[in-house]
Amino acid sequence: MTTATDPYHALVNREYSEGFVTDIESETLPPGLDEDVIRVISAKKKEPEFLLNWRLEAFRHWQTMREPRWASVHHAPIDYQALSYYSAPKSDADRPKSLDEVDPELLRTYEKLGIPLREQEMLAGVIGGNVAVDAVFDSVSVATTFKKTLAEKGIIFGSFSEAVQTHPELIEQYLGSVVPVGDNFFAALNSAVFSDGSFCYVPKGVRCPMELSTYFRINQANTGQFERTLLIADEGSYVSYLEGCTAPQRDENQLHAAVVELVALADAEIKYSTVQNWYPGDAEGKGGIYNFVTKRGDCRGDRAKISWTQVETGSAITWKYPSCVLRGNDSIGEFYSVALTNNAQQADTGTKMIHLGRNTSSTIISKGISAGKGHNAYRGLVKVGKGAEGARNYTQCDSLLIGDKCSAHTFPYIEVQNPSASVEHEATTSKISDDQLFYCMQRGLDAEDAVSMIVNGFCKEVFRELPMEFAVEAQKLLGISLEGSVG
Amino acid sequence: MSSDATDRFVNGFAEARTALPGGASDWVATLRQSGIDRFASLGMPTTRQESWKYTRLTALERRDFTLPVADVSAPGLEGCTLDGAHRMVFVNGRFSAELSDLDRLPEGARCVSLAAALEAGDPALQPAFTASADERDAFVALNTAYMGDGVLLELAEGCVLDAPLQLLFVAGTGQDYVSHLRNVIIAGAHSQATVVEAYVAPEGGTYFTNACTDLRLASGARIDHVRLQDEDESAFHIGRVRADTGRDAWYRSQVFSLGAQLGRADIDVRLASGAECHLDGLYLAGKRQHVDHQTRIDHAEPHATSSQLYKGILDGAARAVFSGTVHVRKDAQKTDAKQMNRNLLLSSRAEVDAKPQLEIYADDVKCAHGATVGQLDPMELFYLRSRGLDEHDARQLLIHAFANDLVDRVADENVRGFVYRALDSRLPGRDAKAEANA
Repeated sequence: MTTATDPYHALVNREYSEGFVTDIESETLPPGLDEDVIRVISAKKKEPEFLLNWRLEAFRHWQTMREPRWASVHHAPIDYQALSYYSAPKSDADRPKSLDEVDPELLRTYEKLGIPLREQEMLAGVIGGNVAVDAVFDSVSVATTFKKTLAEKGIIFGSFSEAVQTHPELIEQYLGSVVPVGDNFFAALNSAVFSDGSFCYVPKGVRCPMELSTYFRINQANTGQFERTLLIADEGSYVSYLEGCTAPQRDENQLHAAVVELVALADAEIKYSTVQNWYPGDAEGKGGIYNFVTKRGDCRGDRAKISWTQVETGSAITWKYPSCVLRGNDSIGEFYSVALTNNAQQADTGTKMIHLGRNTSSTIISKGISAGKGHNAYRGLVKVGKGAEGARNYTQCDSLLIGDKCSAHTFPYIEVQNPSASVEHEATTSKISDDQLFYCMQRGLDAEDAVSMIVNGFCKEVFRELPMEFAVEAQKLLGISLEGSVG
Repeated sequence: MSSDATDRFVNGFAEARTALPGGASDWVATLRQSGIDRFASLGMPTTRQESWKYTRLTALERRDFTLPVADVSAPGLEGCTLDGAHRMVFVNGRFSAELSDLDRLPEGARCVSLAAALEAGDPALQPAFTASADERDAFVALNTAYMGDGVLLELAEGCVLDAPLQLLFVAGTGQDYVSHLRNVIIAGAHSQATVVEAYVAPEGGTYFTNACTDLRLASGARIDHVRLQDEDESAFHIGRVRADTGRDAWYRSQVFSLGAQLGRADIDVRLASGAECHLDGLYLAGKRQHVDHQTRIDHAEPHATSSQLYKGILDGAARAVFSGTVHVRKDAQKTDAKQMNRNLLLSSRAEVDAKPQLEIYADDVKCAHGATVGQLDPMELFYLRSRGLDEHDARQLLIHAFANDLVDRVADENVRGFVYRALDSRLPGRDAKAEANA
């Protein structure tokens, strides 16, 4: 993988020695990946030495690894040397000039979600969209107000690159402490080449007064395909973090390999909610996003709690297992998930709950919905270690099948090494019964609304965990994503 | 990952094959060759393979097993035989006519030793082995190469076996020998039988049983299959049952795994339209025993029903693995599949790994599975204590109740008693009271 053509080497070296960094704003690195590319990325971001070394370590490890094949998904092989690992913001030439040039299907969806026109422009990446953001969200002033409130509480929240400059000591202490560089193929790749992401630190005893969201830094959100998020909740603190956006987003990068690390110290609580609605591709799944994400939370202190809630409706392929390491005694892990696959979408998702501390408990509620030719798999691990006295787990994974070409799979792994543990796993698979449909329809609902209502009922346990405004949007989103799956 | 064991089996084949039954028949020779070729290319399973993820074969691979010697004295069979049953007895993997009792077989039932059938080039056998070419299980491939004896049971259309057929595999004297047993059961349309496979070791020893039972059920056939693995605690047992059902056939398997330091029991069932299968299992393990049960039900056609209940009781530093897969194919609409796995952990050193899986490609189905791991309920214990039972008796009562749930499901009264006696002597904590009193 390290062999590159000479001209390419020459190019990289030349640029680097001549202060490549000053000029890169408008540059995109040529495709390919080797140590020089990583040095360029790191230098461009003016990163401290330890971070560069860390990236290089990850890269060296990555080279020894092979792409995992065990997931229940199918895709054409990915040529990692054909990707460009640093790209400046999209050049205007590629972007639609106005909404007229945007896929009408996409616009129709925006309309149904009730997204204002200006915001639509921004989401579709129309030229001048960034200006529109300010107008619509008034994001500059909103963001400023929020930043002030957060700063008063001592909360550090911003982009990852920013944090590297302002708080390198926190980064050095926590980065890679939950997801080590060699954790898995995609995490290693991310560690080597990550572009940007979010960083948040909540100090001791502070309850974050608002839901933190990437939404509010959307104008700096061009974080590219290798996003890195690090969230630290110090002792006794609380934070709720929202990621993603219900509106379908287009992106020119097909491969997304993000890493999210959460650290909860004693008595801290982190609530992490995701709504993922990347472009799923056309009806055949062509052009959709490959979303290969590593998310893990570490309940490092006693009585810590980490709760994951996710609504996955987008992407051609979703490959994602938000996990909790329950290290502290009495710590709690939760996982609530709705994964919907329609058309040719594939999802292989689930969680890992690793019980290490005493009296730890975990809850897993997973709802999978397959429609069209969708392929939906739950894959999870509940592990109770020898020392996890009194560990408790409850798992429920239900699958709903709509149409006779879809599939639903459940692959739970349960490993118990302590007799005082109590582990329960339940799973069911069914379809929407004709009786349910008939009942709804004789009350005057059309078939599509009836299905949407039943599906929303099916997912209620998970939606309940979402922050209010997200929950409402998620319900609408589900209805739209299911369109055309009945009849 | 030692491949020495693989090499030993492969290299020993050329010499061993002359002594194996059926040497005169061309198709048997070809079949055995294909088996060993297959085994050589597959090699011994390793923990890198998904179905062997939790089971290491190191202890098995360390030993050099030889084929059993021909003449061994027959051990005493008291307590091993099933009253009122037709009986075939195999000692160290070889059929013993004098210990067997097949005089009362009804018309339409043919029951012969596999070795004899292979020697005679029995035409009924050949079709039973047709699928062996693309075998993916290394131990079945090895079995195909080395199979020494077993039973060939043929039931004619409509034949009903009035009493259970007991297949008693007795480990006699000798050390470090391996028996490759192969049973072939061909049930004609609407035939019925209860087959009890029992693996016992009255005299103990370290040996390796590699058993494979192939069943073919024609339409409407009913087979009740009880499999009792009561091997010596230092023995190795690898068992595989493969059942292929016809339309509206009914198959029930009840597995009781009590012995062996390493015990594995796989069941593969393919269900045709309207067919029904019920897989029950109970595994007890203590000390350093390792038991691994894997089931795979292939709902290949619509309107089939399956249910599974596997329970385990783990004591000492035992480890149990359960992996169950329900696979519903694209057109298998109206499938009804249930699976349940419950584990009782009695010791802090025991470990359970459960992997219940559903793979569903059809939409009009009802599928559910569940798994639990836990200890004895303190409330239930308290209730019994409050009624005057001491701690030990209360625990024993609850453990028995947990296990008896499955024994009670055995239909035939004699078989139930037979299983219960074997189970009772193995349930954990039985000796504790005696020791405490002494």
